[in-house]
Amino acid sequence: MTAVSPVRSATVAGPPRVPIRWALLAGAVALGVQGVVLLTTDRPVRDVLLPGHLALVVALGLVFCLGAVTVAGFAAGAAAAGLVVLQPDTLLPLLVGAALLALGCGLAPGWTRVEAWQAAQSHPLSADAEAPVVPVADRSRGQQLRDRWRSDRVFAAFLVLAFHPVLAACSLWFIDWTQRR
Amino acid sequence: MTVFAPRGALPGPALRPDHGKHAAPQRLGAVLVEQGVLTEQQLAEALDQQERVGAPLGSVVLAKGWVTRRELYVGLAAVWGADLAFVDPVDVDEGLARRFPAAMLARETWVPLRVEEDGDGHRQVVVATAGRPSAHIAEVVVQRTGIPRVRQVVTTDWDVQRALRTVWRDELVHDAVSALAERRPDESASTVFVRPQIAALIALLVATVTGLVLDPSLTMLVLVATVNVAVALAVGAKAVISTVGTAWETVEQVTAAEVDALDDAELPVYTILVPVYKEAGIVGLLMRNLADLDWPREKLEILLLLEEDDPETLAAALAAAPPDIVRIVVVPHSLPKTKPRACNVGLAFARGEYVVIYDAEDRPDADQLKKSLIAFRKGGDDLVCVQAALNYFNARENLLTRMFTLEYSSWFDYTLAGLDKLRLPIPLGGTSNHFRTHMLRDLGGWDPYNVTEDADLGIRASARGHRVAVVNSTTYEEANMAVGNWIRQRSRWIKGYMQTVLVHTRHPWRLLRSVGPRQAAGFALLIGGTPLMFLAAPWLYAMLAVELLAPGALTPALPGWLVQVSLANLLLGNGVIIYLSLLAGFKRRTYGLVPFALLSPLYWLLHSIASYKALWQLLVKPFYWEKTNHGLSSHVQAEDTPDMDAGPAPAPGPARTAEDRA
Repeated sequence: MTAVSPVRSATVAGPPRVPIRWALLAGAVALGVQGVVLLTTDRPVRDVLLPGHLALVVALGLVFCLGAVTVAGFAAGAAAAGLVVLQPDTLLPLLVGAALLALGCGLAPGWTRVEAWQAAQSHPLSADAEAPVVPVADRSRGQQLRDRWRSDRVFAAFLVLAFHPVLAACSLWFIDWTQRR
Repeated sequence: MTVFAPRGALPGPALRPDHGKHAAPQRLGAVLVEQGVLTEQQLAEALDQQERVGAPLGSVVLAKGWVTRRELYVGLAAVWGADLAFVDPVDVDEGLARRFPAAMLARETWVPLRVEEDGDGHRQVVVATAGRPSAHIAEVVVQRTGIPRVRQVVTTDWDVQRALRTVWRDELVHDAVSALAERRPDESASTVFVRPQIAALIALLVATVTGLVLDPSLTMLVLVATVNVAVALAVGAKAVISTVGTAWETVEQVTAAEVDALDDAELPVYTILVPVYKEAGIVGLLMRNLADLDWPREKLEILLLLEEDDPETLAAALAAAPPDIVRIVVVPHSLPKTKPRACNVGLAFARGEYVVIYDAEDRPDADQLKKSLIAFRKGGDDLVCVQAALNYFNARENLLTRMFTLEYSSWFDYTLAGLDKLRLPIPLGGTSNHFRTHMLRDLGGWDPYNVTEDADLGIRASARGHRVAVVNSTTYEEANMAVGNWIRQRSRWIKGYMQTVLVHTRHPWRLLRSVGPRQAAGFALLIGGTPLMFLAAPWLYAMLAVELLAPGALTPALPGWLVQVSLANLLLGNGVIIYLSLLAGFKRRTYGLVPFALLSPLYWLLHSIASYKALWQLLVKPFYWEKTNHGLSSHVQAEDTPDMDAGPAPAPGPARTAEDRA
């Protein structure tokens, strides 16, 4: 009664090890600094928090995109929602940014590594799903990028990044609408 | 019919191993060859295998199907120098039987048969044992009967179990149903509401009615605010726990290298319990699903637990001609007819050091038993249970299976991982919970009155100072694909959560002291908060509808700020649920399911329907087990007839994957 997964039998590199704890800690420190500045200066809330939030969105979004760390997408989305609350007209640029990051997720090698590692942990799901994670030697760079690309991953990544700011924008709109009625 | 060999059997060595563990293997082998049931070549191969896996020779040749059980025991009786008997339950003296507890006999695999006179006219007790005759058995018999002479004969383990199921039937049923309720009534759901809870509920009801009469606005404010706070806390707790789990998504509790380093010779016997009821069509499938398991067959014991009033399934199981490692245990009919009752009967017969539950349609990862064993070894002595993740092989069958898969992914991949990381009580999932057998017995087994006995057991283990952990291995199940079937199943789960909350909050201070405030809060928010969220959701939606259709209609009864807070709560709660479902697709690369997360609010409304059904049943039919029909998926129906004897099934590859079959 011995079964060995064909994927496991191949050498599978581990997922990218991004020190996400430190990244989140740095984000928390940045928010803390913004809070202190807000309390100790007379500058408007928006002016103080906006740059910090933007930095968080970019930094965590890049961690999500390049490091394939799901929780970083959560944090980036939350920071983006904060941006929308601070400055509602940032929604459209944020969605464009989310789309660009999602496209990056479609090509970033980190995702392929995570998927290969995950495939080694359990039953593979489908031929299509497994195709990009099977290492193939002697491929051109263009072919490698095509192998890595997954449209469903790109769309899913976009939803994760865009959901929070869209929810925040809809909430603001709804509150405004109910108050104006 | 009882048949005795000519020689007499007397108490043997002090130790009583299983299956001739200490019988000289060469000798058993030689006997089997001499008897013509084993060839020299087979013996040589069996001895090699015995050395490799460290199992008794008898288990090896039995697992390979080279000898029948009867042939093996004929050989063992000769090796042990004992008489051989094939025990017919009608030959067992019931008066004598009542002096011996069924649980002990099941564990030690022997039964007392009768009292007779030996050749010298002395009274002696005859016992039949499936192991080597031993001084231990003789001591126990003397102790319980006062008769100093004991004759031990050898019989098959199946004969022992058949006798136990027949002669000790009432005791087995009683133990399975009432042991927990009698030993620890405070931990059993056999009483739905205890008096203080009834008093508290009545007081709450009276206070509410009085309040509504005297000051309706204030009462409504308190009620709505309380519901809002509870829902917000429950949703918040789920979000925090799942986010922590998300942060640890690539952490392996057990690595492949650790699994590879395991030596088969050091592996213990593992028992797999498979409760099946009215699932005749699915029984055969079990054999192939479990055939993939990477564990020596000689050290595997599969107990197929069938109900007495389900002859169709029994016939199907017999027709499937399962190999010798599969034992069919017919669970005597009694009420409540629940899965935990059957599991308790199975636990009585389990001989493995570890025990796990699978459903018949489950497809565990091949290395799950090994990973669980390593998790136990790494987890310390207080680790009582290891829960593997559950997921679905028919995720893409329809919208409901997609939503169900997202929910399960979120729960098992992130929420349970978060609970594990935060060291909070883990409610076990329906199957694939691996236990240390002796600790499970000490805990009292499963509560047959609780319809989510697994969740209850996880909490009970925590309350007793034990720990439950998760392991990075998955069992694939069949997602419920019909709405009516889904609501039935879900109403049972939610009712079970309600039962679990009622049981473990009977002594709130005791719970607080035993598990600590953080764990108690985690339990209250997750197990108590889940049904509460579902029950409250329709009311919050109703408030939204009223506010949209008739703005300000609620403000005479409620302050405007509270209406706004309620709507925000609803919005935020749904946002959190959608978001957690969005993330759920990432761990398993099921990106195609992710967009369906946006439909989570609709899916959660189904939970509300199920939760009101659960609440109703809690009051009128608290122990009723809403049966979930399995085998509806086309993936299951399309399976070929399995053949466990044929050895391991082909390793799963892209050609036979879930999505391809969709």
